[in-house]
Amino acid sequence: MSAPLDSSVSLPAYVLRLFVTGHTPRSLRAVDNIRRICETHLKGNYGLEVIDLYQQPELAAKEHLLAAPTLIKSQPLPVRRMVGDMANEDRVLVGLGLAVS
Amino acid sequence: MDQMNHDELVSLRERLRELEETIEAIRGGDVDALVVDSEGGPQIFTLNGAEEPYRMLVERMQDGAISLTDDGTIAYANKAFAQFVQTPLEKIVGRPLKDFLAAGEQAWLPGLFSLARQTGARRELLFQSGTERCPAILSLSLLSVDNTEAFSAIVTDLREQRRSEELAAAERFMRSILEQATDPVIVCDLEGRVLLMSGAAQKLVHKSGPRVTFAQAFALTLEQGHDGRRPQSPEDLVARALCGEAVHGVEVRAINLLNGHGTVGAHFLMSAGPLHTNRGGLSGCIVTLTDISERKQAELRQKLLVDELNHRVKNTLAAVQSIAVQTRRTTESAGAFHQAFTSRLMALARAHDLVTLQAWQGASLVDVIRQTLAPYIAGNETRISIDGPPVKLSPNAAVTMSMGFHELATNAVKYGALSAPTGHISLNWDIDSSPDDPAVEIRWIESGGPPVKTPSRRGFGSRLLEQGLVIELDGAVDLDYAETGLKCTARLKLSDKIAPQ
Repeated sequence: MSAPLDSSVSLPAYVLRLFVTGHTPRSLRAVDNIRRICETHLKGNYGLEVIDLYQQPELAAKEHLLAAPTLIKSQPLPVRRMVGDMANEDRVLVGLGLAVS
Repeated sequence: MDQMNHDELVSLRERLRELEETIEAIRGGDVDALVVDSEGGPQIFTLNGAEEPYRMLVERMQDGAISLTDDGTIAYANKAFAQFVQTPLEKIVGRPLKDFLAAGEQAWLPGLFSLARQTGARRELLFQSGTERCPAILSLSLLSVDNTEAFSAIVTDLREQRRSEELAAAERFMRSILEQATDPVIVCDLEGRVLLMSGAAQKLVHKSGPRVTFAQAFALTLEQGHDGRRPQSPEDLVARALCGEAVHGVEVRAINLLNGHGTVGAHFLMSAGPLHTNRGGLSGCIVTLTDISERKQAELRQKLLVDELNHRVKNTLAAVQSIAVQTRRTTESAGAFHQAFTSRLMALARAHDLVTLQAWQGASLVDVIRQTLAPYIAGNETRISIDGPPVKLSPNAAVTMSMGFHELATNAVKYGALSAPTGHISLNWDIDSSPDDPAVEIRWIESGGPPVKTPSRRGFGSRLLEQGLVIELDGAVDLDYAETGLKCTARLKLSDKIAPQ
């Protein structure tokens, strides 16, 4: 007997990856800022992965990264990249498609 | 087609904007690292400040951390390493690692560098730290910096570990000594609580458990005051030791040993002394208990023997005086007196020999008989038969019985069964255990001798048997001068003077 599918379980609409370089102050700020923004504007509707380039440099190659910290929004399309410590919330919201420039 | 071109245009605009933002971020100092593709995969170029946390991490490490060039020169050292080798940081960088190793240890380095190039190397080495040679683990790994060979090394100070190991070894050593100690040895902390004890001490424990004090663990009472200060209890001795004073050889007694191993009332000599730390402070005290119970018992036995001896000497002198008076009364010439008196003194001496041999603990009836009759049995083994169950006599009873048998035997030699070649003496006894009148009945029966006549007057022997024995042993003696041979029957009540053995 199989359990009925739970219709309330669904994939997050926003899929985000933040690439950082260890525990640098800027990387820590970037992680803190993006988490805060997501919790404010996308609560319950996003998935965020934080990746240390030193530990997983192969992912940098795959994503053709130029610099770190970099946030990549892979869903919803279009794919969008933002570089820096994510301190400018308005700019991040535009990047996430949550505001218009 | 126009629509497709429009979408592409939008996408290109977006990518252009991303690139512009990225360049702007790099120019504006908003990034920590740049990622550059290379043949070996992406290379991450850390920008200014990005390595700071790692530098902090390394600087704050407890272990020494150094990086070395391919020829073993130190390129970087953290503060922990500088402290370990007792050298200022500015005098470390640029010097070879071997300068910081103790003499004789440098020879290991070439092999370690060689191994580090392959798998990484790890070895315990002695470093020179001031005037001290200090053990440390050197862990050496190959680093590749800008395609140049370099090494990183971690130096782990082993001094603390060694000290812990030495402490643990010292404790094991102390424990093994305690386990082997035949005397009870107890180690207490500053509060008088038992920390360690020897196997012998464990057998004396009255109450065990964590944090139990000496007084709770060992129920002892002080036997006497000590050196005029008269401490009230063994705990006071412990307290004095915990104040730094050594107390030696105070007599104590175990008062209530419940575990069944010790002897209640055992005597010990208790000594207590302070335990000092290596910095001279007090850390507790050590108590030793030497079991002197056997010595005390021996002393007590000796005192009893001396008392008994004094008593015996007085009794014996009185007996000798009495024998002399009685013998003079019952002999008619000086020669007869001399012979009878000497013979009786000899009998008395033999009886004393017997009880002295038994340390005044009494003697068995059969031993008293054999000892007393020994001069008469020799050559007459078949003429004297002795038979009866084991009976124990008190020292006084033994002497009185011995004198009685002596009188019967001398009488038999002079006038009775032993005066004729065919005479026979049967000496037997048994125990009547009837509850009304429990007694030992001893029978001396002569036969085969010359016809017996009832004596016209009572001599020393008759008096001794009919009066002395009766008084000493609470019984009745019957002398039957039957013509066929003398019969003497003594019925003596069982008591602590005469009893089945």
